[in-house]
Amino acid sequence: MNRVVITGLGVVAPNGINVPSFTHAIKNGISGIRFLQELKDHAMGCCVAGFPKDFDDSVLKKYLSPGAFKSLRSTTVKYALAAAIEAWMNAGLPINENISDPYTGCIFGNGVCDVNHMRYAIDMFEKMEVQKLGVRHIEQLMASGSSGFISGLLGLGNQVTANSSACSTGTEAVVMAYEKINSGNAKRMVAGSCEASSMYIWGVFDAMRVLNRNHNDEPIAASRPMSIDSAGFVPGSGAGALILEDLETAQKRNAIIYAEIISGFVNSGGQRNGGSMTAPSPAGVRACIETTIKNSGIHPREIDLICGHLTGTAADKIEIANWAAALDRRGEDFPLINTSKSLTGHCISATGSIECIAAVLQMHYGFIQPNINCEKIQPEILDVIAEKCIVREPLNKSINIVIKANFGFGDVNSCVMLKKHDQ
Amino acid sequence: MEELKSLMGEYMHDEDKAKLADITDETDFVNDLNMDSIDMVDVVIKAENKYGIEIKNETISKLNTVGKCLDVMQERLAEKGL
Repeated sequence: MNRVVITGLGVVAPNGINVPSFTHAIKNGISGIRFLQELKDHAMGCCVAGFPKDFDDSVLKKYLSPGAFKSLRSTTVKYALAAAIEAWMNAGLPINENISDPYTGCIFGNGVCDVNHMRYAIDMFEKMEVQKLGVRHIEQLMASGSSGFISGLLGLGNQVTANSSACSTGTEAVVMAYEKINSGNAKRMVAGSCEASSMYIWGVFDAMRVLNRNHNDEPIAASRPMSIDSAGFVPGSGAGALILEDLETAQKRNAIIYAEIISGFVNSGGQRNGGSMTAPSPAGVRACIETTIKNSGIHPREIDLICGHLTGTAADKIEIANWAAALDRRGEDFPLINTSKSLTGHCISATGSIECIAAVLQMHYGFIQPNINCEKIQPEILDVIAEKCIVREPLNKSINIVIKANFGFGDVNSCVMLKKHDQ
Repeated sequence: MEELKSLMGEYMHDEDKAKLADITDETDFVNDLNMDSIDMVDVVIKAENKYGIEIKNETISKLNTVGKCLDVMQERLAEKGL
């Protein structure tokens, strides 16, 4: 089995549209959540969202053919490409101009394509103008559009595909890429996920009554994981990309190693035993975490930090109980815990990859990002873990082991164990 | 020809656009002008919409040179009496 390390990072997040700005934001508790008039204009209850406001797609112009760039409409693909290019450059890798690299692949997931783009195509159809659409739409609307664009740009000749598992997508992509390298079937993988900024998607969550409607006039306070007055999540968008390599390949080219992935696991609760389409089965979640720990060879007591899913809904207290049971650590013995969501909102299918990057950055640079907006913690959470375990102020601290998980609709779970790599 | 050049220019890299000055009937869109073959279909669709003509799918796939493209378009325009 090959050891797998992370050598490149790229991100388009609501609070930072590249790795330096995202690092600064999470380190200092800077939020990317804003009021959006168009949500109010469309009778949404929740009128705030986390989205990469300053994203400028002109950065992609030099990497695409003029036709491809001119026709690029999908923000799913735009965010994915920008994140993947940054990660590739961050890893110090050259773009394969004339060759296809058989040892490098890409797993880049999403929940749905950019629905705004889909609506544009549907509108053309309904106006009887489908013949004027042009040729470059299906390449952006297909589920594997992002991985296809990334592969074409970088010349990737190993497996190129898209996974889809709702809010678990990003972490699942990282685990799948890890398994591909660990098993010796690839030397390097681009792993990540993306989510378009689309009020049509955010609107269907609003209709489910799972978004916070109480802080439209105070956007930065709207995402409140673990808080006593959390009232739903804040929708978000963006993309995260990670370059995974086998240790030998990375060392041979003297790559910067951000972290080692020592295990990862993906499962489902089967929508039984308390699980459903929209609620995770505690048994499934615990099995996912426990298997990740078992496969890592790490004792739960060695875990310094949990980067949780923690959305700001009623599920937060159940998640905390699941972590405590799976690690068999409670009270003051529980590790430190945080989530990026108080700063980014819940970036849906992009959330796992963005949060994996946050986990890696915290380990690499020796800090722990704060959970903002949880001045008062839910009492059910405090029945299980000590208040001091919830990081609420920026903290400089060296951490060696981080466990990261995300859970998605469909009762699906992904978990990954990261270890600091001493170069 | 000038209108075709203008349409094609939208799909060409800046460094390749100078080649438009020297194109002949034999100029190949992909090999000589470094264009993406799928973009040529877009150029044809734009021309169809602009002039109100229709070019058959099986014909479009054979339009690999400037001359072939112009011939087909002129043929369709002539059919319309333009």
